[in-house]
Amino acid sequence: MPTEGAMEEPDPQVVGAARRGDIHAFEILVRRYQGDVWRLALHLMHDDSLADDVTQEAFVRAFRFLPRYRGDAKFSTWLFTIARNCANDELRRSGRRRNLRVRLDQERPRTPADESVALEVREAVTALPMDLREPVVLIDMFGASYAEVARILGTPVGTVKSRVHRARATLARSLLTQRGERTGEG
Amino acid sequence: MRVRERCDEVRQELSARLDGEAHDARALDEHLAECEACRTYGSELANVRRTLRAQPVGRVPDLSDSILERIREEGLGRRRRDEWNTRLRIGAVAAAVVALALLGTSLPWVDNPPQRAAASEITQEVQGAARTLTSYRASFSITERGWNDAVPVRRFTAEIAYQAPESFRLLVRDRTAYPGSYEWPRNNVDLTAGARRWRIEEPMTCPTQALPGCPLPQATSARSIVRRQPFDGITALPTDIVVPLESIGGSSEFTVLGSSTALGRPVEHLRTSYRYAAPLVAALQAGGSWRRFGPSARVDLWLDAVTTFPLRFTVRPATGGTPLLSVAATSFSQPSSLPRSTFRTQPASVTVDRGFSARRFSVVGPQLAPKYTAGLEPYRAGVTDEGGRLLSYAHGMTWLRVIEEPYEASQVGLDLTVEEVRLEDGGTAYYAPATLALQQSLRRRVDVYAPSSSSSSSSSSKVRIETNLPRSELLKVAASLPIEGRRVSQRQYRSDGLTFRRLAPSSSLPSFARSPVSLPPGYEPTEALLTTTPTGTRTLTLAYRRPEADFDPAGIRITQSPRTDILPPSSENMEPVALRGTTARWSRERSEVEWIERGVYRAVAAPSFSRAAVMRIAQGLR
Repeated sequence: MPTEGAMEEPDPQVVGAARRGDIHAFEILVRRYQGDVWRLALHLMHDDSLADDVTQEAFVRAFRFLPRYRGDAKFSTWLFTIARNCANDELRRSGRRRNLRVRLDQERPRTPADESVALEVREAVTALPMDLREPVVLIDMFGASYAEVARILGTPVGTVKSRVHRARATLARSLLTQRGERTGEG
Repeated sequence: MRVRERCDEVRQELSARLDGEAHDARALDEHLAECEACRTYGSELANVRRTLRAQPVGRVPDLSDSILERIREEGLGRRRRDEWNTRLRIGAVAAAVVALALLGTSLPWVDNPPQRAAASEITQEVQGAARTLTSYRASFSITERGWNDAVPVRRFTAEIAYQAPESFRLLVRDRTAYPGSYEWPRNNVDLTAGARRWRIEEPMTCPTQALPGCPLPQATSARSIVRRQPFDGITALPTDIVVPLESIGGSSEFTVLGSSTALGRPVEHLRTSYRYAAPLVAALQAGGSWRRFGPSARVDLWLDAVTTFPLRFTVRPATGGTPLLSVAATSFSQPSSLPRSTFRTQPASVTVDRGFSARRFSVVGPQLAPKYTAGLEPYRAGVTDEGGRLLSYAHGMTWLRVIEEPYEASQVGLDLTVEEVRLEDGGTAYYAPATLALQQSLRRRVDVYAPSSSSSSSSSSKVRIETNLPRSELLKVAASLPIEGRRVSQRQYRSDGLTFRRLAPSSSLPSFARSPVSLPPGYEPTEALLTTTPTGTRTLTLAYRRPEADFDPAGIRITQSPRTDILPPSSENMEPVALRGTTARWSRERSEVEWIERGVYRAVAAPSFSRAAVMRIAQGLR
């Protein structure tokens, strides 16, 4: 559920055990966070099967790099950084950035009104360039703080602030346009 | 124009304010009061934000099985440590570098990204280095704090030489400027291990608390062993100082903190706790009088990035602060070979004959030799005076030995620490990980009991394999023995008038018993043993270990006995602690807390855990 505020953090003991290579402890983390990672991947990729791939790859990398996780970022922030990098790698590899909208239209079933709003929103988010999409997804759909997003994206907080603003402004325009209304803003 | 600029600025702040991240709320409100366009704009942004936040969560697939499967396939999990060679190792490191490059520089907690090995790569590097090392020589300087109240700092130099597989020399020289007129014992240690002989010379002294003023005359004690068995485990062979095969190669219990330099060479900075690093730290303390460390003491070590030699390490209190022990290499080299005289020794006045006579492999081997030796070559074979047969194999620092000796059926099954393992050949073996209890002889071992021959009924033969290879390799070697091991665990046996009964893991415990609600991660119950004395006093011992562990400093043991109302002292250094509404006592050296609760004696001992962790287990008994 996209919620206000920060994501729940795992039990430090579980993270500690997973860091030491305990695959059972890691399984707890996988079960707890796979939904969030998958949703992030979906928002970034807009393709279910690519989201699957990214999620898998993100957790495999996370397990590999856990020994270096020192706990100075929140676990969810750390995991999202990896997931976000995996998504970018996948996009670079598959070169599918441009085809995303087309795929989205084909794949989504027609639905009742409230879901069609959701679809509309998703399409609008998809249309955003990646540098605007990432912060707005992390902040508005996962409740991440600006500082966390700055960490995940490796950018200054000021950049996050301006990008999320531009993303929202763009979304406001495109959503209004989609609803057949016109805005005076140019 | 100015108004327009002001609006742009305000609008970004409006967006940030929705997230609670705006700078100057008052200035914002002042502007909004005057500017309708910005008010409209603000409500549009709020709308978008609300819409995004209200997005329904679609169905999310469960990928956990495929994720874990991939991790296992890639051999990343601790439970997979496969046979390994240099080429694979290079592949693994290259893959790691690529993965790191992909992860990129956006990992904010990476000090020096990328191209830094992850922990599992370091573990593999260490294992690889141990396999290929032939000879080594190094000098260290050592600073130690807190050995004695009157001597705040002691300084030493140490020389170490090593020739694969088991020739070792350690020379410690005490450079301390001791205070006052009292003649302090100089902590000079001289340890030499050759293939056939071993010798140690160290100061004979009182416990450090008794100094100064201890009446014992200053003297040196020398002991030696002749006709030594290969890799005998009785004699100290502290090779972790050369390559930290047990402390780093045998565990993943460390954190990689970054890269730096030592002796002008690139090094990896790792951090772990004393409970895991003890084999390394204890290496320099194989003889003589040194300060001790608790299991949680913080150990930092810096491994040469190329050779994995520890070039520096420190031990600090768990909470940090001034190093209590600081060891730094001042030089090291890898000569192609060392002169034989380096490891030559003379028998000391106190000499133990270990009764080993060398024989050819072809004489000892046929019915004993494993088909698979993990790539190790035959090293030495022989027989013992007691009639045992022994084969040993080595490559670099890694070694393996196979001993066949008779055993008495009544001795089997008393050890709570062993794990019954089903081998690939269908036989059964009994595995014990390397432990700190065997301080100076770190080794994993497996016992395989030969099917009892018809000729002798009460005694039979047992094959023990000991090694510093990982558990997975050890079990493969065991499965390739010419004999198929049988199960010997007995559910009940008697010894010295006591009756021992193993309780099945599923069976219910006696009513007086409590079990822990939670244990440290990875620990699982391995044994429940009920002991009954001739007078009917029952004691239940529950043992917990990490299954399939390569290195397990010690397990956790919970002892309980009903109808007890006094707690006889079991150590000189006991501390009272509050626990479960009563006063328990804590023994630091055993890491054990004991108390009596409604007439039932209970004790929790976990030698490699901190007091807080032991107390937590005790608190959680239900």
